[in-house]
Amino acid sequence: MVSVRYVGSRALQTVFLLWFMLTFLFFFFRLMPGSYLDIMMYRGADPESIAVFKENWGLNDPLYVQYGRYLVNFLGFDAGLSVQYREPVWDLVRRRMFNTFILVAPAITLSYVVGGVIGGLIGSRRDSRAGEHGLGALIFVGSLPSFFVGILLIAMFSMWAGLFPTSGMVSPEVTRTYRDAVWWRPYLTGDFAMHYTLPFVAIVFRYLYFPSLIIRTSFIDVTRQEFNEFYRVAGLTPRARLRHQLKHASLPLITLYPLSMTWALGGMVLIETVFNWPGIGQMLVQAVLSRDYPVIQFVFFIIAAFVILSNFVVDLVYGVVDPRISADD
Amino acid sequence: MKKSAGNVKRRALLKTAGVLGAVTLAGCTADSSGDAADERAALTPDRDLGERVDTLVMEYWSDYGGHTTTQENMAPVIRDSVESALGVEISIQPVDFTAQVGNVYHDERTHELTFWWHSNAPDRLDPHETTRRFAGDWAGGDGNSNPQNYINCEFTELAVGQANARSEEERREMVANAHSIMSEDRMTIPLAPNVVHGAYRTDAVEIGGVGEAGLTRTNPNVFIKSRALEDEYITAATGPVPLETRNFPISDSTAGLAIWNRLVHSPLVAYDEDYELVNVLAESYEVEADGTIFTVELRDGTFHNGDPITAEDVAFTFSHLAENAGIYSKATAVPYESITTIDDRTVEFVTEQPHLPLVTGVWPRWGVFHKETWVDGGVRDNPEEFDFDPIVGSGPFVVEDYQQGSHLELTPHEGHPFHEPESSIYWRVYQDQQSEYRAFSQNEVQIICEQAPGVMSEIERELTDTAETNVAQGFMYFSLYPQFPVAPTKFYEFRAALGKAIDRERLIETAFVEPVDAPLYSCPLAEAHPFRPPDEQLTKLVDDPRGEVDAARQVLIDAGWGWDEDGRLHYPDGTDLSPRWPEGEVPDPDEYDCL
Repeated sequence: MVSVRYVGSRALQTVFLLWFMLTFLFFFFRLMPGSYLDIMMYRGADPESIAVFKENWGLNDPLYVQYGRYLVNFLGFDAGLSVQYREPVWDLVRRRMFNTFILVAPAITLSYVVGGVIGGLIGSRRDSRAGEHGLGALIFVGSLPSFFVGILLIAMFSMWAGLFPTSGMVSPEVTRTYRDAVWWRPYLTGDFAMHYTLPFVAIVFRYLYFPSLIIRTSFIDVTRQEFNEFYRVAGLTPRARLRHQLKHASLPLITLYPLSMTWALGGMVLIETVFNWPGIGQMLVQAVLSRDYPVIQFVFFIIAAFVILSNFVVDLVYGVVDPRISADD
Repeated sequence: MKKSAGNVKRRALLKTAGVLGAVTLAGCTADSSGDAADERAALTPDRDLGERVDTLVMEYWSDYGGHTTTQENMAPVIRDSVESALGVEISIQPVDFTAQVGNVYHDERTHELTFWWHSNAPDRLDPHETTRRFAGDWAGGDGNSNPQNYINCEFTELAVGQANARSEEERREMVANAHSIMSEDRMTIPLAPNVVHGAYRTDAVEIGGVGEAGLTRTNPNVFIKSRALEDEYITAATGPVPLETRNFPISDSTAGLAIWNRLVHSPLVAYDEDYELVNVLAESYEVEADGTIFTVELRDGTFHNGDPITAEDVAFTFSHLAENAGIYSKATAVPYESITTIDDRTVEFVTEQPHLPLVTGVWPRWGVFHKETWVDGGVRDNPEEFDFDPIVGSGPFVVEDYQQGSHLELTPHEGHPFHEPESSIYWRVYQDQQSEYRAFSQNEVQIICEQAPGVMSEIERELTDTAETNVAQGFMYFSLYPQFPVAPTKFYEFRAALGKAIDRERLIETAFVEPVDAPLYSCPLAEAHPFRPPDEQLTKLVDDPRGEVDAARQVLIDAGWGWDEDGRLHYPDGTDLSPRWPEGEVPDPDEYDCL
């Protein structure tokens, strides 16, 4: 049973970390050289326009005043306006975050399921030829950069075989057909599935090795523990023993699954660029290059919050699975 | 430092021995850089020399797609030319665009050479921006846009004053004289025209409107005058920025402004594909009273919802832009006294002082807005963030569908008084040029613009029967801007030598698919620019596009510079190397009477 004190302490830590990230991101990005005002200048804005812009955006105020304003707005669920597009940040990023999420979440989940099985099989046959070769193959797959996997898939299945479109999320014909339908309607088309397949496969392929290696190592550790002998003496069949071993060996994945999700979100820039997938990665790059602070802060904060909250949930789940953790804490 | 002839011989002997050793090991037969160093060392053997010229830092923009590729191809050629001719090492530094222009505008002394380019934005066909920005009151660390932090009071007076010239002729003369002064100061070292590369599918598009401007998103005539062969749509590729907002006046993307102001809306006048100013919504206009009264007669046209385009809409458009000049970064301050409607079809602009850029710079930039939709959408209360639905434009295309950062679907507007597009345009967002190329090769997109030369070569090689490429010279340059406040680029003779040293022929061969004319005169405006002064008024940097090494060295020798025994360049003995003003500050008004 997880103690209330344990949950309270973890919750406090989580809130503190969220505030810290919010504050850190606000000040950190303002330390970067150059600002959006410099871009405006380059593109022909005159000094009078720049002066009005600074006044309107409160950029003449001291940084701590700007920070205070930002914090108050954020707590009121207002992430502000994008400096370069003057669109609400939330409007700008929500569809892209959705696009990224529907690609990353199923792909990472599948890579964990398939990777877990592969890792278990390799671990259970570690002394055989299949085990040795399987390990080598996994390391090879893991060493391939994601953009290379992407380009390889496009070259093979789009450019050469002509089976899938080269890029994008849906074709112009589909957007024209569903221009008056609800926003999610194009996601239910076969055309979307065709566009989805290659980037999905690229992510699964890219992230497969990690859970496989973790499970393999964990499986080997588990099979060396004494309780296996107990199960054997108790008369459990090899298959039943394998099931128990896999259950024990899969514990590290609870920790690593949300982390992998975050890594994948962070690493989506390349996949999104190669497949021209309208996700959050490319927008983030553009926002960083343009010093669009409200967008940068919000997106980085969302990614950081995902990690922090995932860890909080993992801590609670661990507390349930292994009560010693909360008791020791 | 004094150097004896004996020293030189000993060094040369040792170097020869070293070179021979290296040649033997590498299997080579010559060492050209060693030869060049020896040549330089032998030029000023007995001269008293000052400090050695440190390695120069040349910054370029590392995040600008095809242009970055071009800069990356050119940079080593510049470095090799300068190192070999002048004996000065150059360190090439990639810096992201925002940080780099920040370094320049805040006079942060991170570099001596800025490798810069100006896009061929139609706005720049008016010379205001490309003249005004070099004026001395914008030099120094005040955050203003002077690319070299250059100051020359004679130039400054002309550069600022040209905006208030009373006639076209007077303005032309002032602009020409200003650029003549800057040219004489060798403040711009042009390297190559800002060539525009684009391609289209010959099996899907009958192309039109390309002209001198080329296949670029800032030349809307391509999209108005081209025709789809396969179906009613032409799919064109764009980066994400132009389609991130439909509140386009806030955008500072030149491509975005061209799409929204020239396709969805139409301006009073605009530049055609051959850079000629033509009337679009204006039937005619008159400039009177020494350039302070501008009267426009409108054509008989309609907005996309059928409402007539009236003088009231025109007055609203330009009043609204003027009132929000700080919010809309491209809405430059115009000294309006009034904008009044004479009748439904006639509008009169009166300015407090002559302001001819209104016709050639401001009118072509902005389409005419539909006043009723904009006011109902709340633009008066909140000009940054307002909601207009549907988008009622005055341009040749109606917005059928728009999804932020994804696509923009445009169909022809029947009631346009000037343009008669035949096909619909589907703008599709691509994240990078390789994605555009892959989609182009599969006919998923039919027009791609502003591509890197490498992509063009690939198209010419792989898609011979189904695609054609287009190369347009552009009216702006890739240039090297020497930083005016610091040594060695603060010295006239060093800038002159730089201008002579660079092998532009090799640079163009390396960076472009097709040969283009190498710029030989110092001027930021390329030959196609309508306001470029005649060659007689400009200073010629070189006669030979391959560079003039001996002449470059001679300029420095004449000014007392010289080379040490290693062939490295030294300042003249006793040279004052202190900067013209402290880093990050502005020039001293006591020293420059125009400030």
